[in-house]
Amino acid sequence: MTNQRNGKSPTGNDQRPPDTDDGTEYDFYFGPAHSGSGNFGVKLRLDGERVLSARADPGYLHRGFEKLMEYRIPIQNAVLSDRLCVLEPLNWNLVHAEAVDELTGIEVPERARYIRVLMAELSRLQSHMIWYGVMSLALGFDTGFRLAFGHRDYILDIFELITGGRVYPAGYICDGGVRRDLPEGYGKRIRELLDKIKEFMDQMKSFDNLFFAKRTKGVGVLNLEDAIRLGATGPVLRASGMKTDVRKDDPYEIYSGLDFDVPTGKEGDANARCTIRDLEMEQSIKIIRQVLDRMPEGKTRNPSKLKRPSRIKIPEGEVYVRNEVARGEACIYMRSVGETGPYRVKVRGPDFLHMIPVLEHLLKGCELADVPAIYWSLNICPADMDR
Amino acid sequence: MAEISQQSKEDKLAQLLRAVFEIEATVQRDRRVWTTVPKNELVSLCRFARGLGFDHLSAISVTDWPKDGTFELTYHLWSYSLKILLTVKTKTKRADPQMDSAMPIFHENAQIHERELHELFGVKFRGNPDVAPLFLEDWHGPPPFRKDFNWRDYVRQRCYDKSEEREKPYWQ
Amino acid sequence: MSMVGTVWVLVKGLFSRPMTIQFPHEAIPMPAGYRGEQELDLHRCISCGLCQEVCPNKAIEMVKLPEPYTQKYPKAYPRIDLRKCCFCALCQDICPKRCLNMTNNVFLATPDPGSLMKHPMARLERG
Repeated sequence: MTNQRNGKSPTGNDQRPPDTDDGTEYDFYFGPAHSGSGNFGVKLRLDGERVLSARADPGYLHRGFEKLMEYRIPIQNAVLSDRLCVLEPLNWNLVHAEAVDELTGIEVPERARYIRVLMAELSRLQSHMIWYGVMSLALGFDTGFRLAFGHRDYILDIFELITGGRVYPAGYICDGGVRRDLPEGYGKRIRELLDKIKEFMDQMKSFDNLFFAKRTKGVGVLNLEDAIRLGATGPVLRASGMKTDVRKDDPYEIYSGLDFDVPTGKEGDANARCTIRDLEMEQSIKIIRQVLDRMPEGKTRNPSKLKRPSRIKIPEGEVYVRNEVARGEACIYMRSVGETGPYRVKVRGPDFLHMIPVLEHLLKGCELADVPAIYWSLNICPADMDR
Repeated sequence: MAEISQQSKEDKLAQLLRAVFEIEATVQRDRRVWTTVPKNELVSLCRFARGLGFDHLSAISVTDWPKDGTFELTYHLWSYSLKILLTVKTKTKRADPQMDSAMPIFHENAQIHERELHELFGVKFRGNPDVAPLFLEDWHGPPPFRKDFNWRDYVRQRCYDKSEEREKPYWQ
Repeated sequence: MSMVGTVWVLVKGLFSRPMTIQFPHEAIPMPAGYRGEQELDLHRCISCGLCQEVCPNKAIEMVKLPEPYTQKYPKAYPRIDLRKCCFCALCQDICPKRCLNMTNNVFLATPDPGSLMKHPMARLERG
């Protein structure tokens, strides 16, 4: 078993077969009560400082969304869909709303489509800032964490202005459109915000070589074949070399009319994933500027007023909706038999694949000190793995 | 012109599937093709689709139909090159649900999805070596996502008290 | 050389305003439309019960008022349990008479959990 970084084992014992236990092997629980792991644990088997194998331990955040959604009407499910992943609630709102729209066949107004894309891209931007902050924290760079979360707060102020809540927008993007119209002066405030974010991104660039490059180059290398076999999607797959994005390949809302790039990496290591994150933030800003320039007038929801719950019926059918959330490919399979709520909802989150097969594959053979760098470079969110 | 060639791509795929496997294949809209196969042909259809370029298994899902006595499985396959989503549906008996695992074709991607379905629905996948529980710990009851497991009554008995004022609405 | 860029950024930070708002000495600006505690106008309520039907958490229950008030307010009115409420404002959106509205009162922490069951009586007494 060799060190992935430069081919040499740290203890110099390349000749010893990996299975002999001479008392230096032990189990280490990088666990849920650990401050560097989120609501998720990984059982590591270590030999000195080297990880021999890893076993993921999910289930700390399992709430049974797929069952909960069967007993509620679509507008209540929209409120519930925020909580599928707290780090990007508006993106998950959008996935659920699209699934119900496709089943009911309702025509979503043009203005609502633009607002949906605006909110989804703002949510992607703040999710990447969380990624930056938490990655810095895991590597020991506390200033980066504080700057990232401080600047993210300006985005949360915009959410507060538009949806009425900072973190949970309470189903703002619902079936048929969006729940409220944009308030006065939103354009000016969002443009000011984008200038502040640009400042933050310049700061990020200045920190890059000093703090991140040394600890993330060559660490956690995932080659393209393995990435596709293990089911990786989103930035993790793009960093390994595949130029794919659900917004371009399987477009939804108005993405087919917008102009943006899909940044791709080559090496597949943690540094490539971090670089892709920075480039994606720039692309999100580009999309937001285009949407602000082109926002049309019109209605924001079809039908305009909420109907009596017992009178709502979803037509019979089944649908599979794919979206690109900040972490990867998010899908919902919804099956309906003509009742007030869906008959079966299956939620496929990107982290289900990233946190179990990909993580176990990448952690094998690395150093203990590289575990946080690999772990957080995958941008994990236990909430949409456990659902 | 691009619209027309896009249309014929999904139709061509549907025609090919009908010809090779003698099954029904429908085109729901652009980039979505749905088809149904008998249980024993599922793995060979997946292998055939993999050969055509469908190398990403997006999800495997199970729908419970207690009245018909069946579990309906859906496999959603995406192709990066053709940019089409092919959904393959199949049925198995509810009383003794057994399926052949898709691991020889999709490896770890299929393994983790099948592990989740085994835990939540009780479907047995032949050829899947690791079906240890993912989410539930010390659970000895029936698979919880089935329609005949009344999880609401279970939660009411274990967690709520009918005589308390605040918890009365849960019994309505 | 990258060290210079980093140090310059950090020095600039020394001379810019901090992001922190010194609450409670400074007020936090809250926009209109924020989803805080509910307020109910009993005069306009028609007791249709739609708020109770749509609430995702079953936090609303329609209750009658005690004896001396039933002459003026004979119907049943929503009693909201703030410990279950998720502040989603579906009750505000569905109310046909627009008498249930969300304010921007978020200062709801209290050592007395019983006071979080907002009975419509309390709204009368408040005037």
